[in-house]
Order: sequence, then structure tokens, then C-alpha cells
Amino acid sequence: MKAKETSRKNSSGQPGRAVYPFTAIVAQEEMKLALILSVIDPLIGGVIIMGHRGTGKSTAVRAMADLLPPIVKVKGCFYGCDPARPNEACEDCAARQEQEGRLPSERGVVPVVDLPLGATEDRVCGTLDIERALVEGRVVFEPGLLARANRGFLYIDEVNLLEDHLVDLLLDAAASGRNVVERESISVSHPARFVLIGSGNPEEGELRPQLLDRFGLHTQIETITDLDQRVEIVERREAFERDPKAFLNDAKPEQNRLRHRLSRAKKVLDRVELDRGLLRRIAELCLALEIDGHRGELTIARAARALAAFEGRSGVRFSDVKRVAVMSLRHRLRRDPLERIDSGALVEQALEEIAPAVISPQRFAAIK
Amino acid sequence: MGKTVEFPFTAIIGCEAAKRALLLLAIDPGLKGVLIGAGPGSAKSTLARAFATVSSESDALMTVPANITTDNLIGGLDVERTLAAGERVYSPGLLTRADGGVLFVEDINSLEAGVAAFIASALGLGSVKIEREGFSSCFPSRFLIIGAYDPADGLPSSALINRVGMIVEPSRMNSADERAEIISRSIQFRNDPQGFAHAHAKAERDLKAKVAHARTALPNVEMTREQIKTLARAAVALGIVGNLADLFAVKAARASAALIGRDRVEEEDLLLAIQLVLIPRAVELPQLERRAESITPDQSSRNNSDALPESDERAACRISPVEDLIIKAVDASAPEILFERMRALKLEAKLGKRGALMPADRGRAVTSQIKASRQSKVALFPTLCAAAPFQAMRRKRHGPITIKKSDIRYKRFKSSSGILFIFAVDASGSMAVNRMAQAKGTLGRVLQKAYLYRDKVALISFRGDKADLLLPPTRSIERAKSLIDSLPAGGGTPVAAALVRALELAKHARIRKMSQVMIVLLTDGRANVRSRLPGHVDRMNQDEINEELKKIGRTMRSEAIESVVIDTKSKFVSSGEARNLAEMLGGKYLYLPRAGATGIHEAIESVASTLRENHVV
Repeated sequence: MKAKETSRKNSSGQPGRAVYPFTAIVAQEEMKLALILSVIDPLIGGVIIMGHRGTGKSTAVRAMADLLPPIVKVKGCFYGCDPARPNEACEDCAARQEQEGRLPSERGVVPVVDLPLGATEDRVCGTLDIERALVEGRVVFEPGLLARANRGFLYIDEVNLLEDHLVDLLLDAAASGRNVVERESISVSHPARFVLIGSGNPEEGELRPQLLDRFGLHTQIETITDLDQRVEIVERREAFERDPKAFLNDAKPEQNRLRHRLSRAKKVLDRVELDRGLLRRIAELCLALEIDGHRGELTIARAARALAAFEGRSGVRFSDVKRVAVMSLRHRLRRDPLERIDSGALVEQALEEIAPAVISPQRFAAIK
Repeated sequence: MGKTVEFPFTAIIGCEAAKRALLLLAIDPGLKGVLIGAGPGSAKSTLARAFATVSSESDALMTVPANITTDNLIGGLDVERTLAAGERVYSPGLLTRADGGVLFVEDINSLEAGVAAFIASALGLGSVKIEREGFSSCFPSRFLIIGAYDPADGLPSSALINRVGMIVEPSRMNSADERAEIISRSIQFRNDPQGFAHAHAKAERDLKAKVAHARTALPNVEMTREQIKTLARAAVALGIVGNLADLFAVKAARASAALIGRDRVEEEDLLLAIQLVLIPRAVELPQLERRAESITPDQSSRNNSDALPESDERAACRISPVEDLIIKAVDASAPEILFERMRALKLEAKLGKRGALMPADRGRAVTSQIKASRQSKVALFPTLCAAAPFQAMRRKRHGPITIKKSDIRYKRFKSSSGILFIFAVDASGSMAVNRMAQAKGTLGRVLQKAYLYRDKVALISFRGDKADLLLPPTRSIERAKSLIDSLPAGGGTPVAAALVRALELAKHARIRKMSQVMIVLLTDGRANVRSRLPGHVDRMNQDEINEELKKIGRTMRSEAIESVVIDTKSKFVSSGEARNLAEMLGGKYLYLPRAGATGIHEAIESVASTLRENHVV
């Protein structure tokens, strides 16, 4: 069964519309860091951004899409299979490899796929290509959003309003890395490894714990009250709307710097060291907060390594752990739902308790 | 003549703020739209139609019916043409057809939550993304929106308030002279539209030219950093959520200067921007509110403690000219309405918007199945998918397309509507604080599982002679958290008032397709206040009270509303009043004097589970 190649030009952003540059986003440092880390290491498991309306959540996600370093794909493969990882390939690529050996490759963009409001199940997981079935009487699978998001990002705005049966689909695919379709005389299984990015307004309802748990990092975003920053937001936004081209041009050097930093960090990530002592401390932190399972520790370790790589260091420091701990654990605390204290504050408190002994002045000078 | 003549914009009397807002919108489409709050018969649709004649947007004004469905809004598979053509044909929805035009929505506050979310999302993105029924597309959808609503029926959804630039509050009453003139013009127009339009043609032309001129001058209107800061400061002082409002305010100020023909923004422009953009979004009004609060002393203690952790920024602006601007802007609008609406917004900011944003309606779970049950609806797209592969084969024998019974797929609706638990808590007597804590704990537990069953909770407290809705139906723990902590206790026990309130909630929930309602009444005493006479504490006639309760009980039974009376009296009296109450209501009686939240939750969940089982979808 062959997958049909459909137009992919609208896979991210709007048609012909300039995307506001990531580096021009004012403040909201935690959210920006979380997005950057999940670009560096997709295995962190993505980000969920919760905050009030009009705080720039989706702007940031769309801006992130513009920063992604290119990847190598199998030429002509709809799923964008990685030629270097044959065991993760789709059926077509696997069969071709068997016959042809090395597959032709090409550079391509990392997909950032929107799961819009009102998406139906058939479009999410893919379904029969009805046109060809009607005309040719042939059963051809038409891949859906999960296929398109393979090796990239799947963005869900208002993730807490997502319909339950779609959540189930996502959870299945996210857990197995594959999308299995058994419907309308179609029986297909294809790779669907994607990083979930979600955003929503906490006042509109809770997320299912299973879905929440799937997100590596959880960041909260607030209305900015600093007046200078607010003025800055307005001025930049206006400048962008007035002349997007010039604005993008001005932002280019910094955007390129960030792109460069990201692709460097991705390259060195595997070599960043995280010593056992620090790992132990991470485990202590999770223990102190009574966090079930090991996803908390794993996320902190991965995020801290990604942060060290981003800062151009070859080893993780406790300060890295401190910076990523809140966003890694905020959504994993077991607690009374009506508790008024912010989860982030609890994590910070626990961090204080496990903080390493005061550094001696000599050592401090040496570090400086 | 093909084109109908619209009532001229310049001939409309009154509605000054709305007219001004529409002109600003015509000058800067970046303002996205205007929401006009006004009672019935206040020329809202006339204004909207007249707007099309002065703006240079396309003259297509599309009226959106308030009961529009998401299918109509974003489009779907055109079954007829798909079958005829043998290829997928998409029938575009209103949002794609609206590209470049103006949408007019009357009663915009009664749009279904999902529909409002779509419109808001399109306003933000300038496009609509469609991933449904085999279609994957992105269409441009840049439009202006004029929404009208009657404030008496509630506010538009917060998603829309966030994305639409200007909001116009109801203006003062027209004078008798003005009313007479309005009627006379209306009659003239009805009798001779062409003639009437002709009489106003020059004024219309002048206005149109003025708007067009302002539009070209707009990019050159100067606005200082300090002026932008003033607007930002006002937004912070008014407690506005999100940072979009600043952007709209700046646009409005610039457009206002352009309309007047100036090349720089001045104070009156800032004033107008505050009035049209910021004030309607205000959550708090520091000084003015204080004045109003002195009337209700029992709330002042709470509000004072709220006022404590104010940022320096806000404290500083107390004495700044921004305050002055805000006060001027407030004076320009009708204060009673302002306070009324602010109270609503404040409640929303604290508790979240009532119901309107709830996802339940978005959950039109449309997976399909082969099996048909009673009242099954055919799912067209999956049916076509099922039939499609066989067409080549069947075509030889039958017509162009053949659908057999075995192809037909039915829509499977997942039971997305859970139970609405309405907690009615007796706040009279000394044990009220305990009961409140029990209720809060219990509803927290219900909410923890809410994602599973799609349940919602609401909380009513009753004491003295009235019942207050403390927590409107919600699924959000976030909102329940911000529940008012301390609560005045003591006084009479107006059970009936609480139940009447609960019934109202239940009825609303039904409208929002939440079919199951369960009222959980926590009390230790007997009903001793009637609901009918607010202000009149009538403790004497117990018979009348009982009669009233029985009547409510009958209504509850006929509406199939489940009720549980939880008796919290510490000494068990077998002929207890709470038991009698349960009998009158036809509800269950549970004696749980010292039960914690877990105990109560288990008890009501066991009742709820029978409800869930009986609920056939």
C-alpha cells in the first residue's frame, strides 16, 4: 500500500506570511528556554506552555519553527525517514533499502505541524484516499498529521480543550513512536516520532494526567507587568507589522547566531557529561518531592545536558540542574488539587534543601 | 436596482462611541473589530450595515447567525459534488468566504464556545487551518468583525474579547428630541430610501473621503514612547490580563489622531483609546472602586487584603496623570453599567468565565462505527470511504455511485457530558466553616477525576435570606482554587433559595448539553426561610416553607435531577429535619456527621455511578 504524496507547503505557519522572529520576543525567559532545550534534545519530550490569553504562547512556538536546523531525509519519502536509522524507517523505505541498498537522501526542513481546532480523527491519523478509491477503485492510504509530524514537532494550541479520542490517538503514537491505522479497509503502520508542544489557558480546564505526563517540560507564562517591557512589546510588534521584511532583516544576525548555537549544541549534546554525583542529587530532589516513576529524573538530566550544550560547556553543573528543575517537575508533583502554593515554588524549596554545600571563596574565584 | 440602499452612517443619531469606534476600525483594520453592547432596538445592525458603506473594505457584510455550527463556519466535504465529480470537493465555510470582508454577529455572546474559539483563532492568525474529513488546507481569512450583544444576557466569550480590539459599552439614553428625530428619519428612509440616501449623499461622501484620507495618513502619525507607556500603565492599573490590549490601545490612539487630521497623538486620543480598548477590559478600578465598596461594608475586609500585595508600579500610578485619564475615560461612559460589567469580569478573573469556554461542545466526538443503534446519525465521510474502493466494481452494474447498506457508517458520540455536581452548602449556624471545608475538599476530589467523566462542579452557599453562587459550573481546578476562603456565617437557613438557585444552574447546564445534574446539599438544620420574599425573613410559617420545598422537589423529580442531602448534624436524631428534607426533595439521605472530603466523595460517587450507568448515549 503506497502513501500518497500530498502538498506539504502549508505544514507550518500561514501561507506567505512572515513569522515573528524568536529572538525578538520580549522577556518570557522560561518559555523560551524550554523551547530551545526541546529543539536541542527532542528526547526531552516537548513542552507544555500554560498561561493567559494574549501572552504570546503561539507566537513563540511558530517562531521556534523558524530556527530549526535542517535534517537529512530519504528522498521522496513522505514520512521523511532518516537514512541513517533504517530500523525506524517506514515500510516503503525498508523495502527499498532491501532492494537498492543505500537510499538517496536530501536535506529537508524539520516539520512543525499544527493540530488545529476541530481536526477530525481521519486527518490526524490518516485515512483512505477517497478520490483514488472512487476513481481508480484502489485502496491508497492518505497519511495524516501524525505522519507529517514524523521527526518533527506537533503543536496543539488549546491543548486542554482537545477531544478525548484525539488525545488517545496521540498518547498511543507518542508512546510507541508509530501510528497504527485500522479503518476503512486500510491497515497501515508507519513511524510517527514527534515532539509534542502544547499550549493552553489553565482556566479552561485540566489536562488528563497521562497527557500532561507526556510533556517533558511545563512552563507557566504570565502577563508582563513591567512597563518598559510592555512598551518594547508594542514597539516591536508595530515595527514588525509595518515592515516585516525590514524587521526580519534587522533580526537576522541574532537569529543566525541562535541558529548556529542550536545546531552546535545538537552536535555536542551526546558528549556532554553529567557526573554521577550530580545525577544522585537529581534523584534526591525527585525523592524529596515524592515524584512517582523516573521520568522526572530523566527529564532533568536531559534538559540539564541540553542546557550545558547550549551554553557551550562539556559538563553539566548544578546551576544547570537548578535552571531546568522547575520546568521539568512542575507537572509531576503529587498534591492536593486545591493547594494554593504554586508547584514551582515547592520545587524551588526542595532545590534549596539539596543545594550543594557553600562553595569556598577560593573555588568560587577559580570558577569565575 | 440590484443593490439595496443602506441607511446612511451619517444619518444615525446617538451611538457616538460606537460610531467613533467603527470609524477607527475603518481607518485601522488592525483593530480587528468592535463589540457593541446595547439593548434591543438600539440600531446595532443599522450601524454595522452602514459601516460597510464608509469603510474601504469590500462592501460584503456577512451576517453570522448566532446558532451557526462549526461545519458552516469552517466548511466541509461537499457530498453531492464529490460524488458527481469523483474527486473531493470542499465546500468552504463562512470564515473562508469572509476573507477581505466584514462579519456581523448579532447576539455574539450566545455563540457556541467552539464557534467563538474558531472566530477568535482566525482573527489572530488571519487564516483558518482545516484538518477534517479528508481535507488538509490553510485558507486566508482576514476579516473585520462587528459583534452586538445585549449586556443583560452576559458578555461575549473571553476568547473574542481578547481578540477584538474595541468594545463599546451601552451609552446614555437618548433624549426625547433625539428619539423623535430617530423615528422621523426611520420613517423617511422606509418611505423613500433612495431619496433619503440622496439627501445624505454629500455627508456620506465627505465622511468616506475623511476616512480614506486618515487611512493614508495613519502610518505617519507620531506617538511618543511616553504615550505608549501611559497606555501600558493604564492597562496595568486596570488589571488587564494579557499584553494584546496595549497593542490595540496604541492602534486606536493613532487612528483617532488620524481621524481628527493630526500627525501626532494627543491626550484626547489616549483618552479615547482608554475608553474604547482598556476600560471595557478592566478588572479593577482602584479609586473609583473604593468609592463603590464603601457601600458594601461586609466585603471591604476581603478587598483590603487583596489590595495589599500591589506592585510598586500600581502604587506609583495612583498619583500619576494616568489615573486622571482613567477617571476621565470612566466619566465618559455610564458608570452603573461599568460597575456591573466590571463585577462580572472580576468574577471571571477570579473564578474564570462561566461555562462559555467549556470544551464540552467541542467534543462532538466523531469517530464512526458500523453498528447502528437507535437514532444513529450517518457519518457521511467514513461511509463514502467505505464505499469508495468498490465503486469500480459496482459501477458496471449500477449507476454512478453505489452505496450499500454495509458501507454505511454511523457517528459515534462519545458521552462527553458528565455530571454537574451542584454543592449547596448551608452557611448558617456555627458549623458552617466545617461544612464549607468539607464541600471544598469534596469538589476538589470530583475535579481530580473530572477529565475522566467530564464532570463539572458548582458551589452555592446559603445563609440569612439568600443563596450566593460562589463557584459557577467549572471543570477547572484552577478556578476552584481561587474560591473565596472565608465566608460569613450565621443567620437563617434559606434552603429553598439555594435550591431555586441550583435549579437555575441545572437548567443552564441542560442548555449547554450537560444532561446530568446532581445537587449535593450539605446542611444540619431545617429550612426556616422562604425563598420568595427577599429581605423578609419569615421564620414563622413552617408549613408554607415545607409546601414550597415540596414544590421544588416535584420540579426536581420532573426534571430528573438527582439530589443528595448530607446531614452534618453531630447528634443523630432519627426524625431529623435533614431526613425530612431529603424526602420532600425525593433525594437520597446520607448521615455523615464527621466525614472528611474522601468519605463524602465516595458517598456521592456511589450515587453518581448509578447515574452514569443509566445514562444511555
